[in-house]
Amino acid sequence: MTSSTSSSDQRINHTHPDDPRRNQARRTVAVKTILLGGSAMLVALMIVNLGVSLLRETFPNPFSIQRIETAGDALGAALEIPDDDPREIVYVLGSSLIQFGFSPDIFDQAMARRGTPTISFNYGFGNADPSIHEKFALKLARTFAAQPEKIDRIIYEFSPFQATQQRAKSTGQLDHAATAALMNAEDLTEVLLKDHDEAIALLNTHYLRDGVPAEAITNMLALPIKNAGLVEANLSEEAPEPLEGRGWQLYNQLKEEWPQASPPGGWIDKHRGGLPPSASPEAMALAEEVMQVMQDPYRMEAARQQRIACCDMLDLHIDDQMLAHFIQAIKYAQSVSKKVDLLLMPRNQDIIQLSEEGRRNLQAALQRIQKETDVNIIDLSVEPYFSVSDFFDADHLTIFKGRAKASRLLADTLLGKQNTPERSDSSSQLAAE
Amino acid sequence: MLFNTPVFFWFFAGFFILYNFVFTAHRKHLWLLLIASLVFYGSWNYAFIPLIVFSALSDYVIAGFIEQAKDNQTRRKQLVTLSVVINLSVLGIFKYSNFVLQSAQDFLTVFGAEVSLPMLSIILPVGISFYTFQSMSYTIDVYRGHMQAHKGFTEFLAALSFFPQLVAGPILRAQHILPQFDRMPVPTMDNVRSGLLLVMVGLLKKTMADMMAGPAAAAFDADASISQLDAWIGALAFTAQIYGDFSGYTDIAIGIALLMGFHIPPNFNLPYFSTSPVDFWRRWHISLSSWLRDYLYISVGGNRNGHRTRNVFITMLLGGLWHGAAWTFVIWGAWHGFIISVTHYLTNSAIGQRINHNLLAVRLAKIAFTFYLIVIGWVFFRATSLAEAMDMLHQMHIPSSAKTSAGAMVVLLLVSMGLIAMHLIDWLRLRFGQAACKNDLILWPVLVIGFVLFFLAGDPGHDFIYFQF
Repeated sequence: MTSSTSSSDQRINHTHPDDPRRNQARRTVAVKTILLGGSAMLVALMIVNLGVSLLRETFPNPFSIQRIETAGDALGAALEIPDDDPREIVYVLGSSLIQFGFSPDIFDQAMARRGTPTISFNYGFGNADPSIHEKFALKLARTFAAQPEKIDRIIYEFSPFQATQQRAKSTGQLDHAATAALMNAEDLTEVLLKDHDEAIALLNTHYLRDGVPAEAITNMLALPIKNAGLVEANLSEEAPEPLEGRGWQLYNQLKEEWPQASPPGGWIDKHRGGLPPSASPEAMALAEEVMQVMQDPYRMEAARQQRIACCDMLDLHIDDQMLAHFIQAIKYAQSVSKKVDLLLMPRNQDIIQLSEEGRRNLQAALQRIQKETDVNIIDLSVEPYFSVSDFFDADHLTIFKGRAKASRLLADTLLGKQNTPERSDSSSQLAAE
Repeated sequence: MLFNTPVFFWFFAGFFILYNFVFTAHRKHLWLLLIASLVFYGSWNYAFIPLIVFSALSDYVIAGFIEQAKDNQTRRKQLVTLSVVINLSVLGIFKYSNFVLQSAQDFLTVFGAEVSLPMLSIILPVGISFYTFQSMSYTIDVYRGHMQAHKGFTEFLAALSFFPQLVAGPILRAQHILPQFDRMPVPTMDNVRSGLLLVMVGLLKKTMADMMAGPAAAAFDADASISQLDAWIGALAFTAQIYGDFSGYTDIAIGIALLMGFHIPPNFNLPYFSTSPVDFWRRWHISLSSWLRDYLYISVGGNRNGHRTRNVFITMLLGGLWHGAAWTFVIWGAWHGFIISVTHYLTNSAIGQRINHNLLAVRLAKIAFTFYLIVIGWVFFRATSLAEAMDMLHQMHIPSSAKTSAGAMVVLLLVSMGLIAMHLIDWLRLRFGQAACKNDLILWPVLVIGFVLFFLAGDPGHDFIYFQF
């Protein structure tokens, strides 16, 4: 297929502007343009979408959007539960601290043992700021608008560092993708009236790009560079013990044992949004080994510095707008649940110690939330003591020990049976339970 | 409606179908193109449409009168002056009024007069500098006898508002574009192939430019002082950003026009390979530099009256001011006026005459030094104040105690790669583009690869920098 341009192509432009042959020539060229350019664009889009699906199948939540999308699609899970089911329906919403640090299975077991049967769901998702939580909660409110009394309790986790002024500077990366993932026709009409460019972009992302816009891909590629840039160069010279592929080994082992958890990062129906509560002894042992390597002081210090740089984790200068988004999210939750609690997840106190100013700022934020929503606060951030061995980075609980401990502690706290074990043996005591 | 957004894609797709398959008569094509251009312009703000119609109408009418007053030179001069005054007044009101008021206020404050002048609540219409210059050149060309006044207003308005080039150029000459609107050309497949290649290349460059925006902002918008390396990364990132942003936009504009059979002349020619500041302005924003040369530099005397340096300064200062209503742009223009004048002086000096300019080492040294001078200029262009620009230049040249940010070397590497990649893409297109366009079996995979990269990384989050001008 070579160039078809000939002198006859050129000659057509010397004919009279209304010569009918011009229209014929124009149409022929237009068809060829569509065939050449349109097919190139279409094939390119297909290649990109194929690559995106491969990444989604292979890596856990590579674009940070998959979890939001799948959890959003599953928001109506409680509607499937018959009205005469005696169990209390509990929705737990929040950040990745919930996604990886709360097990509906363990929580429900603990509650049932104490005589209050529940059926809980994990709607945590990571890398999102409060504006996305607001959108998510709006979708929840719309989902249950017809049955506002269906959910008995919503526990909304608040990660104060996600609402800081520092964190607010880097928000927006997922905004478009999250909006596309969570939107319905009503949202779209609203956007269309305000900004038709954005409305068409949303439709494009939703229907042509498999929910993953280029900005999400760029963000994924840029994240390692950004994170490297956030950490101070003054870490100790001593290199940490290398993982030597053990992380991937664990990942592959769990993938094999938890086929229902594939694609990773999505919503697992069987475990109501959470990860399965346990795995084979070999996988558990490997997980323990990996977590110990992750808890290396060098890695923990790097994680701490990254959190300080990205999110002002020690001083917590809260951004008013971000907090307002979070308050609105709680209000949406309150519109469809009999009760809403605000949860502060256990803090890795060996690594993250709030400054005096940070404590004051946190207190002020909590007071404002409480004043505007009258929500009950469940504060697990300080007591009982969670040691560094319960976390695999600056703030995420380990997927077996830490998660189990926090899930049971939440059940205890809700039933007013909170125990406060000593710092030294708290983790082993609770994990062994 | 940015070229790299889905909304533009669907807008253009709809237009393309109507233009090629629904409308058949020549006049209908013209009207459709005019309406599409006004819709495109109105997508920023429909209130701006009357302004462009007014600009077109006033110059169309004045040009007609100029032609009628064939033998009355005084009247012709009065009429062309009227056109220039109207155009500059529109530009002055919408673009420079607040700058003038603010500068006057600052000036009075320096002398102890604490006055508060009322600022006007005016939104800068997108692309006003481009179409005002374009419209004004038409009456000047008619006055100079370079062309005849055009008979049809529809053609004139359609040409002035031609959507591919409306908001960020290139600045077209009426002599070049109006005849094309008279005959509404049919594209050839060569046009289409070149057009598609240009659109793809432009999208890629724009994408890369957006990626450079982050490192540039990190340096220029830093709250505290930054290290020498970080300062250079910021300056280089902006150097890459503005090139990718503007030349990418131009490529897309030329490409889209070609898909309709219209020819727009190139606006860039590997500018960072320039061997001198004079050479730079032959390669950077060619449509503006040639406009300034033909309608300003020559008008104030050019090379002829022994005031070349003065004329260069006047031209470059006003050229700087054309870019934006701020002192940083004036200084940027002055800087270019200065380095162009020094180049003229050195070229004519004894040393300049003795150097063998064809030697590779000399050429490379000239390219490197010119690049350095251009980067210095961009610091003024990007900074939001003179103090910020001076701060940045200080940080670039004097090592400070500020700690270099972690990962700086990686970012430097990425910025350098981006800068090189943009030029490499351009070079490849110029060197092999024609050959690729001869064979669809070569062109098609090239287009697919380019679009894949765009779909992977294209970020519609940033406006084209030149929109503000």
